[in-house]
Amino acid sequence: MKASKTSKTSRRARPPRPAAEAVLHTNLTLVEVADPLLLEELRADRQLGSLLLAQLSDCVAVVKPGGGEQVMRALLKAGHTPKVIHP
Amino acid sequence: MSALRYATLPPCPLPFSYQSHLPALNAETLKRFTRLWVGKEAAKLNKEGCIQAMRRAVADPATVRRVLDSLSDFERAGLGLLKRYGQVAPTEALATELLMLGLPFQDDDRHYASWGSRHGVTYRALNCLLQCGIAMLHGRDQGYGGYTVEARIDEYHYSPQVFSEACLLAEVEPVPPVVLPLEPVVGVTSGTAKQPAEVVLRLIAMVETLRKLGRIPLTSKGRPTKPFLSKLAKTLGWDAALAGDALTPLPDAAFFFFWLVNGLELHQPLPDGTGMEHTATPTTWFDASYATQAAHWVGAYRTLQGWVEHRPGTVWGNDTDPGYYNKFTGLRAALILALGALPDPTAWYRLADLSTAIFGRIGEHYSLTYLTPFYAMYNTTPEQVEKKRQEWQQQLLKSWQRTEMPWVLSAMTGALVHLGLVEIAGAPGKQAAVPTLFCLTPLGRAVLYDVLRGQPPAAGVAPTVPQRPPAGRCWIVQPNFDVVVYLDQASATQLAFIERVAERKPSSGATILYHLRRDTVYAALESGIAASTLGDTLREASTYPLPDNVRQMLDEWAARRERLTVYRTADLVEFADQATRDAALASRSLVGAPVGERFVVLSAPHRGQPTALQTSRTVDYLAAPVRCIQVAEDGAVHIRRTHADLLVGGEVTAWADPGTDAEHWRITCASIQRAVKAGWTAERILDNLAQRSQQSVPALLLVAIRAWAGERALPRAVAVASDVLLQIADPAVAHAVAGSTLLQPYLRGQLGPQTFLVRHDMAAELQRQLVELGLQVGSDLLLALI
Repeated sequence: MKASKTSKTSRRARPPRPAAEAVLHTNLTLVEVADPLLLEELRADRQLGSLLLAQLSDCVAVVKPGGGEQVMRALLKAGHTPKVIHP
Repeated sequence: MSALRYATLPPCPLPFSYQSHLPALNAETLKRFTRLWVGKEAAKLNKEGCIQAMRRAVADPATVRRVLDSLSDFERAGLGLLKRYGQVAPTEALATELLMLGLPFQDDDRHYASWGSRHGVTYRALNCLLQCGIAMLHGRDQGYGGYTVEARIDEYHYSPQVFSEACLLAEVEPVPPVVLPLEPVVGVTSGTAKQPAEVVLRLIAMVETLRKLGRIPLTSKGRPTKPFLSKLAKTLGWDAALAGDALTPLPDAAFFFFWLVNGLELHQPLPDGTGMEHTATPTTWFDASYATQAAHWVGAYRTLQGWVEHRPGTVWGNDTDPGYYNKFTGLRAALILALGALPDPTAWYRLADLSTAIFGRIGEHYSLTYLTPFYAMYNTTPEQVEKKRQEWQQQLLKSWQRTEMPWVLSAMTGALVHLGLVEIAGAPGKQAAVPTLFCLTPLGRAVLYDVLRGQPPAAGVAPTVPQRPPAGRCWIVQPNFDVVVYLDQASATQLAFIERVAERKPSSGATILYHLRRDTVYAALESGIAASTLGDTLREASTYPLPDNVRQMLDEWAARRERLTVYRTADLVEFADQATRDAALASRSLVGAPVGERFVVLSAPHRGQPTALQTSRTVDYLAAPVRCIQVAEDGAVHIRRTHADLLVGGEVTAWADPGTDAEHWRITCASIQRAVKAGWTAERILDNLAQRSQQSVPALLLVAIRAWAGERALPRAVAVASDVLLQIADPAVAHAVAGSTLLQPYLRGQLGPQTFLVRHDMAAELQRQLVELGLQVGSDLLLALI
């Protein structure tokens, strides 16, 4: 995965920086795209947009807890063929 | 006996050894057993002595050989059948197979039948083995019929399995059944048969479809749920074509192959007992030779549960009850053994003759329906008894032709043809609209006939079983994405591969047509086939080079998949900044992929494992949301960084305006109205606030949010005015105003629950504040002079 430059629109949704020590986040569903424009497109989708709650970068978004299946259905319905990585 | 008890094993069955079962037998039975092993000395032994003597005898190879030599042909043939099963056989199947052997046996119960009791007529041959002690029932005295320890089986004493001691089975040589009295038919030129590759393809298609469907849900009785089976049948789409086949109809083909695969143990139950999942190595299983695989098909078909070839109208029973299938298991086992007792394994015979021959062996002992017992009237002459017996046999034959014979015909023209074991044909010189003749295929001869004789057929006498081809060039990929597969050249691995990456089109015979589609290729890639493997395998097995457009499209589909990745239930480590993250990755204190500026997605094998990295806290997103925000009455929202999770920022963004930094936000009329436009409701916003807020949300803010969201519709207020008076119609709003620290400076006091006295000089400012909070003077409340 690559870390891409941030944009003004996505910065607002990003989580505040934690204290000095690291934080472990478990059982998250993430969506990662190769092109930031694709993530913008997904966020603009009425169904998908409501499920993508936060952006970690221009290319990575966090899915609402429990919304993994919904996101998969919506992506497939929209014609995307996502690579699904299970634990 | 209940149906469940009739059909299932006890919860903790004993091991398959005499040593475990002997103590459960009574002394009389034990002495009879011991007599076979140690001779007349057994009569002098007590129960414990018999057990010890049996244990010593079973462990002595010379005694085992002596016992085997003393057995009759029937008893050795019975042991041979048990050996073919492994060590344990289903009771119903073995009982009818022993009758089908055609070998004479000592029927001690022959004279006990009466008009009211069949006295275990179906199990008489099996009881012969049980009573002399060369076979035992499995599961006795562990929950089944503890009131008897007699080593026999009948309608009232039952165990679902029979076994024998391993040392006996290791030494016994198979005794073939007595040849059936069948007349061969000559002049048959060709018939209808399925090639082994076609059967393998069906099984592979079933396994692949089950793999795509995922978990197999089970009912409380341990059977797949009906919706799942319906979905499976619909996905495969075999039922209509195979059931409508004029010569070889196979009803409910999807269910047949499903239960066959189930019998092949290509699935394993989940630990929680609510479902099954496929095992990891089905393709390896299909790499075995056709004869090896077919031996497993026969074993699975013989004890098939959940599907029957044909259900005669006079057969009653509930098909969700496992015991319902036992009768059919018995008849199926008899039919399979009958095919091993043909006079000439390469000749053609009449189907009707086969049915009659089976009746000749088991007809007096077995029926799918009620079997009328024969009994001689008191004080009748032998001639009268014989006449009565002939009448009874005629009656049984008519019943057989009505009930069992249609089943035999269905099994021969349906399941056995579709398993590639039997070839069928019409009568010579006649239109083959209805098959009347049958012959064993080379594969059928190998696994049905030769196996009972323990030796391979002489070379050159009969056609040999087709050999499974090695992996080679077996298909042609066309520019329109069709793939034509030559069945006789495709290996099991190649069939499994093409079944996974392409959609099968209706076709039959030597070639099968598939079609490559984006969704099938995507599903194949998702199942674990690498994009490079997909292209390479298609190219290597193709007779001609892959068309350019197909190759380009495959690459594009694979690349398209790489553009978007969904991590399901991923673990993520968040660092304070990019430098710390990069340093942690460089020091190998954790293994994962960097995401964004400050995050690392842990690699799958390292999830849930402790890392060398120290983390200040763990946020589990399957648990309730973290309470990490503080909300003030004026709408100010403060996200506490030390408690925040990754989602709170996104949630707050939806219904609040940004403040001075990423931690400070403000709920305003504009922000709420923006959220409402985006699909939020006041209730959702308030729920979100309630879940996230560390304290209770101020009542006035609740009122304001509802008002800003346009959900307030309050009744008209009234007031008596001579000074500045604030009267509020809604008690909830009045309660919020009374408790508000923001509004206290404007109020002189509270006159009643919903009435306030307002400072005269601050009335205008209060009105402005109230409007800002979404409360309209004149509708929601009234300000008036008193």
